[in-house]
Amino acid sequence: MTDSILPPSSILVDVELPDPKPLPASLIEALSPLRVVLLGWFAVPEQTSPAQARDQFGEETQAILDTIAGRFAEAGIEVTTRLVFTGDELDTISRISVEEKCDAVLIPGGMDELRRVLVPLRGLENAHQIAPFIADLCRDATATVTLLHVVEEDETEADSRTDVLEPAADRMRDYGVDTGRLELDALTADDPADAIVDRAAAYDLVVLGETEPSVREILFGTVPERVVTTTDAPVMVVRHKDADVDAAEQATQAA
Amino acid sequence: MTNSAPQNKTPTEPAAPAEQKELERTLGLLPALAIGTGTMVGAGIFVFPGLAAGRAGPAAMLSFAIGAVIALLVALPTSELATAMPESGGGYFFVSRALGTLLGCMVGIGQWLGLVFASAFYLMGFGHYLSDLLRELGIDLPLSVMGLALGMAILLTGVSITGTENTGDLQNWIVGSLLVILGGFLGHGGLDVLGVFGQQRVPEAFFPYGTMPVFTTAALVFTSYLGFVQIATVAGEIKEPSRTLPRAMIGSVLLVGTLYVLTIFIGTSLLGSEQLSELGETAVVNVGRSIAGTFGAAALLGGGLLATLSSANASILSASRSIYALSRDDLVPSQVEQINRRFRTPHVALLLAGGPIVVLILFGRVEVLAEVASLLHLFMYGLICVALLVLRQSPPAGYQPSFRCPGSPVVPLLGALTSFGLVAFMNPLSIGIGGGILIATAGWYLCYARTVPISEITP
Repeated sequence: MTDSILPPSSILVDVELPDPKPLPASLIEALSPLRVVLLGWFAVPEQTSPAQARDQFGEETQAILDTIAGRFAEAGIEVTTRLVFTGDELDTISRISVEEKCDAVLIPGGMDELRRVLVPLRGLENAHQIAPFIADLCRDATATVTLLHVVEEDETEADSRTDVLEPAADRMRDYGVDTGRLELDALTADDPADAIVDRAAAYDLVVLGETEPSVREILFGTVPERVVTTTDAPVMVVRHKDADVDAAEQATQAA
Repeated sequence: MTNSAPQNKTPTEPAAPAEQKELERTLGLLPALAIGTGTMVGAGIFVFPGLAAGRAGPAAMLSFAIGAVIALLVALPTSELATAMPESGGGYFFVSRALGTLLGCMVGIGQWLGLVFASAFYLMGFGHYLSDLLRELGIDLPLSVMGLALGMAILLTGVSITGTENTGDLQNWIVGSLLVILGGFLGHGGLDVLGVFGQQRVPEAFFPYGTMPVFTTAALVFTSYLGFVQIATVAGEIKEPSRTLPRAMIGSVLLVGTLYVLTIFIGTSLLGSEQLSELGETAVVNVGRSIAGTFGAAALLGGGLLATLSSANASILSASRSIYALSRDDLVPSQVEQINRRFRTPHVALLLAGGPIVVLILFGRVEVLAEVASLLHLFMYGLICVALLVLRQSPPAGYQPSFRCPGSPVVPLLGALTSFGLVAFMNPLSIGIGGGILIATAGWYLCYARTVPISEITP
């Protein structure tokens, strides 16, 4: 546990208001090693001024959001809430994840208990990005973590182990992940997305690195979207830190 | 104040929910341009060319140019005010903050009714296009232009109350395809006129009816420039308002102004103003036919349907925003801002826009509808310019525009004078109706809202 001084990684959890989809208690429990930024958003159609919606629904939605925040607080999680009236929730999720410097974004799903975590890696670079987050996430839990690398045609599974998976595992260990809980899995497939989707079915949680420079892209993106739509498991998308610089610049210009 | 700064919490700080309820800014430059262009383009190209050419001949080009100049003289001060106060409400907000509640109330109610008149006018235009289309297709419906317009008014109001799908993307597509249609039409037509395809110009005097009709026509067609201030009414939803607002407002005026002048130039060159005038509201369809046969006619018929509909729809939505801005300041009863829980739309305000439109369509006089709409807007435009002059004279503490209107005080002064001056060239009936409405709005203020305080400008 090398990072006990630093604040733990943070994750953005968004809920639609005033009728939030249920968040399973086990999922909240699984988030307990992290800091949570709870974003409540109220979708406003274009016929309506967002200010007008806020005037009428502000109190009510705030109360619902506070109740949900209470569930996180009861689980011992440090939670920050944001409430936004928006014509475009993807814009909102993207902006808040940058403003709050969230390390990851949660796409909720069903979960009984966190036993097995799937971490598909595209390469070593990807592993560097995800490792600190995995370390925080698994600090208290007993879950096993499978590092999955889908091998492309010009490589062998053995190459994959020595070039990607083993260095990635070392990286995880550097951050304090118990190597006894790590499993390495190399797999040859034509379509990485399909392969990941197939594997994901047997896991309780999928943790992915962001591929595109923004959350907006990733929520629409190929692999995460297919994982989300074809499995019931929740997905955590670890954000690209470089993206923050660009987005922060944009935000500064906007202000 | 809408975009809160990130809350830099330290891990030791207890979890305390933020009480701030934020509003997302979702409109970029292109959607903002589409709001302005989409509101304006329906009238100038697809309804007015025949009417305008009949009154002023080829010099109707000048009428449209005069309109563009006035609109620009107003767009510059409006841009400064909008960047200083990027709040929803637009012209009403600026005038009420700078010139007080009475004028604010008159402008706010005037803006609502001006948009209602404009929307009725666009829908009459839509009725003409739909009836032309049905005739071309050989479908014989026992419905007049007025009946078609009425049906569409009811349908549009219903859809805007119950519609959960955002039509914002649709609006962008409509404006995009209109620009493509018009680009082809104007490009090909322009080459035609220059003799590239060997078609003969119709030789004609530039001022067949003298110079006076140029000004009365400018007053009539000014309805084609009512859209740019609508961009300021959604200022609260625009991303990077200090950059986007001036670009979108000035850009949309320049874009549509150029299109209008070109349309009249090509129309009068190819068909002559007499023939254009006989063809009436849908004259531009025959200009299309003379350029590219049935295909040209079909493209412009389709364009006309889309453009008039998009203008009418945008005006209904803006009218509802105007009502909300008034009710937020308690100048009208608060019930009108009630949002329907199921559809999340302001059904009362939308009905207050759609209902009067139906009545005005029954009144049915296209030119009067257009002029009253223009008059009510010109009253607001003039006062926006005055508001800028007042705020420049004694800027309140919170007044920090990021865009400054160039050439002040000359530009806003000219803007105010030309806006008020143009009204003098309107038809007496229009002046009577418009003036009567403004007096009634002042009466509303005296009876209902005299004691309502309005907050100062806040940064």
